[in-house]
Order: sequence, then C-alpha cells, then structure tokens
Amino acid sequence: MPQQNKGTRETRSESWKEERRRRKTSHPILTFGTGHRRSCFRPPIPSDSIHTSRASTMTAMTEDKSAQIQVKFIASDESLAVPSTTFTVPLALDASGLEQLLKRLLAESHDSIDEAPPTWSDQSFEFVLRGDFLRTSLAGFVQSHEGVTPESVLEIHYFARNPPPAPDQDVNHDDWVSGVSALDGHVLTACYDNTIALFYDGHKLLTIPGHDGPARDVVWISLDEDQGVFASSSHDQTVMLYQWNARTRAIDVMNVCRGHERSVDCLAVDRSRTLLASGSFDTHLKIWSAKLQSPDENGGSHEALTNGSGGESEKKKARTSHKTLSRTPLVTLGGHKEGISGVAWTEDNEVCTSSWDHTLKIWDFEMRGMKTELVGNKSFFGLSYSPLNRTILTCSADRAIRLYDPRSKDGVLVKNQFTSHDGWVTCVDWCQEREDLFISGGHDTVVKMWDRRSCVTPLYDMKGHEDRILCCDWSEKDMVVSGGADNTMKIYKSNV
Amino acid sequence: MVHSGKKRKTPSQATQLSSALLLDDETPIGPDLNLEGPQVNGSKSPSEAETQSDSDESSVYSELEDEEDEEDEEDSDEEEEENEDDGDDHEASESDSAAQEIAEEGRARSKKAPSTAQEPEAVEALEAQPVQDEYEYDSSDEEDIRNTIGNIPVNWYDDYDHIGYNLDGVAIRKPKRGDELDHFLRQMEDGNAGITVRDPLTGQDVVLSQSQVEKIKRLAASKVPEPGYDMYADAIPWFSSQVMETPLRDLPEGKKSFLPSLTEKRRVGRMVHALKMGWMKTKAEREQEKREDPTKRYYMLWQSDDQPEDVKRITDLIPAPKMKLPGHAESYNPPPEYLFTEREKKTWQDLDEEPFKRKLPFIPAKYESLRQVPAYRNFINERFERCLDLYLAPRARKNRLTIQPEDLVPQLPKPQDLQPFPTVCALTYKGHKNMIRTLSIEATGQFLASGSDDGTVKIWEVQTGYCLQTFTMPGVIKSVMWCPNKALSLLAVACENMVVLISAGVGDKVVVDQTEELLKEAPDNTGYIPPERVKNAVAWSLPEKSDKLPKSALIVLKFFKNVKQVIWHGKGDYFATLVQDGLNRSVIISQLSKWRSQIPFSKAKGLVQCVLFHPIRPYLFVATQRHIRIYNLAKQELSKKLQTGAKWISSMAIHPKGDNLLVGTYDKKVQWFDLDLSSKPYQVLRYHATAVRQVAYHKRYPLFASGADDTSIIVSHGMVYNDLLQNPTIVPVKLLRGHSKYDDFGVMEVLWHPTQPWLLSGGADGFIKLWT
Repeated sequence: MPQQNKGTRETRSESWKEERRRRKTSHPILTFGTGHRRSCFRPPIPSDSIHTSRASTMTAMTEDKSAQIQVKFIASDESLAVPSTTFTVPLALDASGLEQLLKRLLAESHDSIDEAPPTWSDQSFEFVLRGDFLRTSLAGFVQSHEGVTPESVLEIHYFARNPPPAPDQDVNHDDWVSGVSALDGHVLTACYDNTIALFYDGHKLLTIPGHDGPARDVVWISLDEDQGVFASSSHDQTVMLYQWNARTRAIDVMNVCRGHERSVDCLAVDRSRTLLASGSFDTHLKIWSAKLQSPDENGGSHEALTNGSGGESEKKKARTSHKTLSRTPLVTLGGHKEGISGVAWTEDNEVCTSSWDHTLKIWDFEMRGMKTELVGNKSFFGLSYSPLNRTILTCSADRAIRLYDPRSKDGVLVKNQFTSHDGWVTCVDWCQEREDLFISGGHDTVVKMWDRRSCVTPLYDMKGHEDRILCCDWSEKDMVVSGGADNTMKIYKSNV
Repeated sequence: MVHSGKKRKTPSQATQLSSALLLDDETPIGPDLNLEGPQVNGSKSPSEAETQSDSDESSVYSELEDEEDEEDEEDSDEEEEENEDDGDDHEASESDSAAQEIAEEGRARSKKAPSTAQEPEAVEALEAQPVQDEYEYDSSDEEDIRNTIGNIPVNWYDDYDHIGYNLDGVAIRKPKRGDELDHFLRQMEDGNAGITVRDPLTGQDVVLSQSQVEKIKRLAASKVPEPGYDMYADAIPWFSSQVMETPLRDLPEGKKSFLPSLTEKRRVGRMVHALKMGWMKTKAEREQEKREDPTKRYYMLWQSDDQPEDVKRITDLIPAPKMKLPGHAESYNPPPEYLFTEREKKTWQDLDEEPFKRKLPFIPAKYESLRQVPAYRNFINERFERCLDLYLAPRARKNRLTIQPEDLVPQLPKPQDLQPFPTVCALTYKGHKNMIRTLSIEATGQFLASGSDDGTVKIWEVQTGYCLQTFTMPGVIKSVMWCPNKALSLLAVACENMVVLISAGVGDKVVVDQTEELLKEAPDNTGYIPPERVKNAVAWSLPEKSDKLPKSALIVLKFFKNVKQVIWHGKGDYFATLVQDGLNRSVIISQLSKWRSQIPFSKAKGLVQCVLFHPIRPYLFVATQRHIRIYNLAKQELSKKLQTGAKWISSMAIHPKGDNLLVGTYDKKVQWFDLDLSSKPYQVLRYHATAVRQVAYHKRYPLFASGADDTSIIVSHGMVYNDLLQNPTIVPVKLLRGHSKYDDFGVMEVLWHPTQPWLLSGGADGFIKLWT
C-alpha cells in the first residue's frame, strides 16, 4: 500500500489534495437531493475500443504498441472465474471497459455450462490493482504507480461491485444525533436533547426523555415481534435499559445502571445478548448484565416500574424513572488513563476499548483484567470489530482510519490505513455480512463506504449531512445509518 | 719544547723595538752622531738632561728584563729547576736574546770597568767588593744583585745621594760627578766619550765595546743586529715526522706516550654513539646527501628578494611594492619628446596646489653631462617617506571573517521530529456572538468554558463542540476559570465589578451536587472582623435577584472597581483577583472556604497587568507594565524582580514545573524567562507581527503557544530538561491561522488541552477553534 506519511507535511498535504481532487471526480458520490437520486455512472466507452477475442486483441496490439499492457484477471469469487490467460489490452481502457471485456470473457467461459441466466450479466465489477481500485484508465494507473511498466503483466483482481447505497430516509431531530443503532428495520437514535427516539421506516415510534443529560449512545439488545430491549447511555453518567412493547408501543425504563462518574460515551452488547459493556470518560469500563430484571423478581426492596401501560404519557414515565431499579456493574475494569471513547466485544469474554490515552486495550471479562494493549499515536474516538475478519477498525483525532489486527504477532500493529476523509473521523462500523466492507463518518460531513482492499479510494461517498457526522451504524446489512450535528439521522439503503 | 722554537723570535723583535726607541730618544750612538747635541745646544740644564736620559735608559732596560722574565716564566717550573744542570736550555735562552747579551756584556764591562774607570771612587766601590768567581752569578736568570732596589723607577732616588742598596743592605753611593765643565772637559779629552753610557743601576759610566756599538748601529739601520746572521738560511726541521737515528733528546719516552688517552677514548665513544644515532654524519654521508638533495646543492642566492619575508609579528605579510624604476623622463639627457613644452610646464606649475594631479612629480630636464646634474632636492624626503612606509605600514593580509548568518543560528531539530503538535483546525465551536476574551478547560479535558463580550459564559463539550450550558451574565466577561479542586465543579467568572462563582453543572453529578451543597451557605465568620481596607474593597454575598445572575451562581464577590482577571491557586481554595485601576488594592486574594479576602500589597508598584500563582511553591507573580515581581506568599516578601525590557506586558504563563516563565507583550515579543538563570529573558521570540495577546504552556507536552492580534497563533516546541545545566530548547514549529480579524483584534486567548496536544483558541470573531 502506498503509505501517505512519507515526505514532509506540505508535500503530503499537497499530494493528498491532489488525490482528493482526483478522487472527487473519480468515484461515485451519492447525495440526498430533493427527490433526485444520483447513483453511480460510468461514462460509456465506445465498444469498438474493446476487443474480446484474442485474435482481435492481437490486431489491436499491432495498431498501437505503446498503448497496450498485459493483464491477467484473477477472480475473488470462484463462481466468476475466467481462464487465467494473459491478455493484452489497450492502456486507454478504464474500469467500465475492463468490465465489458470481463463480461464477454465470462460469457465465453460459462456459455456451455450454465443454462440459467448468469448472475453477472447485470452485475458491475470492481477491479483492484495493487491494492487500489481502478478509478482511472489503465494508463493513469501505470503513470501513478512506480515500477509498473507497459511490459509487466498486471494482475487484476475483480469482484462483483456492491450496488451503490441509495439515500433512503432523512429524519430531523431537535438536537444533535449522537448515537444510532439499527435492528430489523428499527432504528434507535440518541439525541443531545436528552432523548432517545425509535424509528421504523422513517416514522418516529417513540421519544423517550429518560436521561438528565445529553444522550451519548444507544444500542439494541434484542428485538422480536413482541418486545424490544435496548440500552442508552448519557452525559448523566447512567446507562438505561429499556423494554419496548412492540404491540402496545409502550416503553419501560427497566433498569438504570449507575456507577460511572462521568459521561458514558459508548455501549456494546456481546453476541449472546446478555452482557452490556459501557465505557465512560471516567476512564472505567463497566460490564453490566443485559438481562432484564422484572420488578417482581426483585422483591419489595425496589419499587416496581410502571408496567408500560400505553395510556401514560412519556413525560410521566420519565418522571417516575427514578423509581426504576438501579443496577450495579458486574465488573469494573480500570486501566485507561483517559476517557474511553469506544467499546466492542471481540470474543465471548473479551472486550476491546479505545481511549483518548492513545491506547486500545483488550480486556478479559472472566479474568477481570487487561489482556493486550495496542498503542497508537493519536487519541482514539471509536472502534469497530468485525467477527468475520477479526480485525479492529479505529478512528482517531486525525484523518485516518486504521486497521489493527489484535492477533498479529509481528511488530506492525497497523495493518492498513485508510485516508480519504477531510477532518476527524468520528465513527467507523464494519459491515456485519461482508468481511471487506465498512463505513466511516467524519467531520467532513461525508459517510464513506470502504472496501478494505482499497486504502485510498473509498467505494462510495454518501453525502447529505450538512454538519459533522457523530455516529454511524451498519449492523443491518441493508441500512447504513448515520447521525450528525445537523440534527438529522439519515439512512442509506445498501444492497450488500 | 716545541714552543721555544716559535718564541725565539719574540725577544729579538722586542729588542729591535726597544733599541729603536732607544735610538729615537737618546740617539747617542754612532760616531757621527752628536750624542750630547741637545744637551749642548738645548736650554735644558745638563743635569736635567742627564736624569732624563737616565730614566729613559732604565725604562728600556727594565723592559728588556721584563721580556726576559716573562719568557722564563713561561717555561715550566720543573725546567727552571732543571736549569741548573741543563746547559742546553740555558744556552738556548741566553743566546737568543741579543739585548740580554748586550746587557750582559754591559755588565761584564762594568765589572771590568773599575780597572778602566777614570773615576777613582767608583773603582774604589768595586774594589771594595771581594773578587768573586764570575760563574757565581753568571746566570741570565738572576737579576743584577749589585743593586737590590728591584724593579722601581730609578728616578725615585734622584733626591738621595745613594742610588740603591747592595746585597748586604749597604747604600750604594752615587758616584761623584763633576760639574758641567768637568763633563765637557772629559768629553773633550776622552776619546771614548761617544760610546760611554751610564748604568743607571750603579751610576757608573760604561764604555761600550766595539761589537756593541756595531750592534746598535745595525739596529739603527733596521738590520739584524747580529752581523753574521743569515736571515734566509734553510730551516732545519728538528721536529719532523722522520724518526731520527739518534733522538734529539736523550729522554726516555714518558708513560703517557704508551697509554691511549682516556679523554680521546671518551670523545671517540661519543662520536661513535652520535654516528649510530644519526646525530652526526660522516663526511661521505654529507656529500652523498648533498648530491642527492638538489636544494642543498644549489640554492638561490637572492631568494629572499622576491619571496615574502618572514616577519614575526605579522602573519601573511604582503611585501611592499618595489620602487618604480626610473624611466626615460628621469634621465639626465632624455629624448626630446620627454621634455616639457612651455604649455606642459605651465600646467605642471599651475597644479602647485594639488601636486597629486601632476602626471610627473618633476620636470624632466636636459643636461649636457652627468656632472652638471644638480643634487635631487627631494631625495632625502622621498627616502624618508619610503622608509616610513616600509616601517610603519607593513602590509598584512587581513583575514576577513566570512561567516554566513545561517551558520550563527544554532542547530535546531526539524519540526517534523518534534511531533505531536497541533497543525490543523479540527473543530470550531460556534455560538458566541461577540469576541471571546477568555477560555478555561476543565482538568480532565472534557469540558471547556468560555467567556465572551456578549455577556455569556458557555460550557462546551470539547470532543464534539456541543454547547452544554450557557450562563448569561450582566456584562462583559473578562475572565473565566475552572476551580482546580477536583471535589468542586465550580467556575469563577469575572464580570463587571463582580466575581461570580458558578456551579458549572457538568462533570460528575455527585461533585456538582456536592458543590452546590457546600457553597449554598456562608461559612460561620463570627468573630472575624475584616479590616477596613478589605471591607471597602470587596464584599462576599450570596446572589440576589437584583444581580441578574444565572441560577447556578453560588457566591458573588463585589469589588470596588471592575475586575480584570480572576485566577485560582492550584489547590482551589484561594483565588486572586485583579481589579482594574485598583492602584494598591488591585491584587486581592480571597479564600473560598472562609469567605475572606486580603489585600497583600500596601503600595502600588505600577499598573498591574496580570497575576499568576506558581504551580508548586507559594509564589505569586505580579506583572506590571514593564516588570514582573515574584512575591513569596509564605514569607511575605519580594523574592525576585524580572526585567522584561518590554514596554507593556500582556500576559504570562508558567511552565508546569515552575522554573520557566513565558511572557507575552504588546510590543510583539514573547519572552522566555528561566527563573533559575537570571532576571533577564533567556530568549526573546520576535515572531509575531502584532501585539501578543496570550501565551500558554502545555501541561504535559513540551509545547507552548502564543496568539497575536494578527489572528496568528504560533506553536513552539519548548523542551525543559531536568538537567539544570542544559538550556531549554525552543523551536517554533507551526503557524496556525484560521481566525478572522474583528476590530483589529485577532486571537484573544490560547489554551492547551490538559492531556492532548491540542490547542484551543478564542478569537475576536466569536469562534473558538480546536487545533489538532
């Protein structure tokens, strides 16, 4: 990967600006417009510039020798494999040209075997050359990469392109949206006006003014047809567990988890949906039980919470919330020197936290202690762990998203660095379905969708926010949710 | 004995000389010479002349005798002893001396003389002595013992009637002499008168023998006195290398001659050693060297003429230019074209006032011959000038120091190596409607308080830029500061003539509640009567509705004039307030827990600009317009006074370790004081183009920043070492621009995040920016 941090700061920023200019024109940008949705388009390429048969390719080669290069197609997906023959293609070819070429190759190779309509016929492809997407023509790639000569054989990895995410919903809030969580189409948002809101398909189902301070994060614990359970954290140093009755649309604040001494900034639920980890600015990581305790089980020591009759106003509920059961943490883990900014469950008993003190720490819940420490050089603002590829993405007080492999034994902790944002990156989230995809949001008001194989160029830029993005979520594979300082929560539909 | 051969000549020479003298003085010799001429003709009395001649004679003789003595003395004593029986030597010495012979003969004559003497007295005197064997005293070595006066001038006896003493100590009578007439008659009568001389020792007249007269004549004619002497005879090499058949001397060879010489052996040993060591070289070697090394064979005879001369006191001397050689114009007979025409001559003469403008310093002239050339009038002057020039103005090549200005700048590390430091603006906190004068960040770095001219104090979440709280105050906010006490969530706000302590309402809820609970009521101050001076200056109270203060205001301090600055002591119980134009009451220190204030200074030392508490020790820094005074609060005395040399101090900041102070001034300077080092600034940084408003040190990172009116913020690396001997390293690393100008004000406040290398700046444009 071409690392950007070589050379002086000035040249770096210059090259970065140039890069950005190039990228701005080269990759698709999606925006929320008034009814106008722009998706990704490629300029059509005259078909005569593409030569499918090898014979015609050879003739093309004789036409202009300097404008040709040898390529080899390597499929990431077995079902889309083509014979590993070396082709000579004109350098003027770009991604769409390659795509047409590839499609004809696929058609040739799959012709006899497959009777069913091929899945790739209406599919577009991404081409990865040396760890970066091909966004210009091959000639541009050869120019920008050292060591690539027209004589060398380029290995082009290709895979089916994700369809671009489409702007879906745009919901206004009263204040900044600081946390989002989606599950089964239900989206929870945490807002700086101390409320938690629940949406389904663009409609607000609930507003829960439970907290005394601005809400910082919200997370679904479980959701089924009858009820949903979720938790929220806030500046008022509490984590609240809610039970939502889907049928009656009643909401109960089931438990208030007290113990943090500063704002609780991040929440995470483990895979068994029984444990809830919270990180706070008071440098402590606390792990709570995510199981709901019904008031009956708890005996008479605590007064029962209102059992969610729909007739009661939400305000009243909020007022009575102090009567809810207080919950104490199962474990408190201290060791960070500064506030914890992100938390994620990595294994069943493992929590990873990111902190302002420039460290990532992996805690063992059973051992009640720290297991590993990864040291960075900037304060971390958030992290995301993918169970599919077992790596950690972090965002920190600079423009870069860094990919850490906690299991890596060799010295290099940062496996990859993704720099395309123009400002702090505030949130990252892995796709839960595809191991290569993730999204990120930053102060540059853009949510970016990335493929981890491409370090510089993101797949898509999702524009639409008018102010800094504070949170994003891609736990539902078809919903990219983001919230920001422009008081909106936006959802893109992604077809992964 | 080798000597004697050489020495032989010396007495003869001496004799020649002395006889020459004798002739000159007395000229008595020669039959044709009138010996007594002068006495006859001269005006002197004969006696006088006699004495004169006597004394002369004696001097001559004594000289002769001296010579003899010396010669004898030169011979070794042993030989003297041997003399008795060694006839050879004796003869040799005797025969050599012609003068001695004369004397001997003279004496012999005189001894014989009594027989021939005319004067009976003298004969008597001699006859009185017994006739002795002539060989008894026939020794040249022995002095004449007839008279024993020794070697003294004979004229000392002139006044006596004796002439000396004989061997027996009997006075020798002067022989009776007749008067002039007798003398004359004697001369007339005596045929020997011409060759008669008087022996001064005995006073006897001695008649010279024929051979003696002959010798004297020869001497007078500058001839060898011995008539038969062959001057040019062949020399006989007595002591040659050839071994004689019979030895010249019959002495047996001495022992020495058989033994090798020890000194010679040593000398040879030394030479051998020197040869071995190469200190000495044999002649062959030297020749060889000369042959091989041409510089030793040939050398420039006049080398020093065109080579630079070595002058010890002048290094790198430039030889003086040679004098210009004379040309045709200087010739005494120049070609006619060199001669001046009338016009040229006139112009030459017209330039009398400015002689340096003349082409030639003289007028060429033509002479018939070199003999007619007059002396050059300026010769002495010009020579003198030239000599002065050579002597007083030696031309030395001066080494001009070619120092590039860049070389003088100390080697500083590159800014890239000094990361982290803020480089870009990450966030802008928008909300204030007027210029922001003051910022303060909470100890953990999560919240930021800002005070603005729009009368509001806002509390922000640092990470997101969300405004959590807004307190509206009744006037312009001059200063805001979080209480550093971690058990309190308290904000001190200076507004108008008040300092309001506000519960910030952010952070730990428990702490917020505690703060409000704690400060709800006034402490029990019964029995404490504040001094009148303090009472007039400040009043503590709980907020009243008429004050139009926000609800969370807990305590109000009303001062007698507007408050400019409020600053907490590190422990969070005391805070200092700076009252504008308060003169001697401008600095007031208040205690939160007891609701008490005190005025530490009784005299106004100047217009106080800002105050500062030392982070560790009980010191209070008070900056007036030009000076900074450091007071020891524990001892209540002035501990130090810093000379800034600035015209107007705007702000100061102290290093968290407490040994370094940063001062910003309105005259564009940032000064770094090392408090241990001196009371003068260690370094003055003049990198701002306009007045510096605020300076700040980072608590953890070696960074400091200064903000100026031209909207620029300069971040510098300022590393302070634990080693006291090492000076702090100061490297400006980044210039940050982002604020816009408003009313000629730019950046009003800079502040570092307590834990991160982030800088917060408040601008006159109403924005707060976070630089990371």
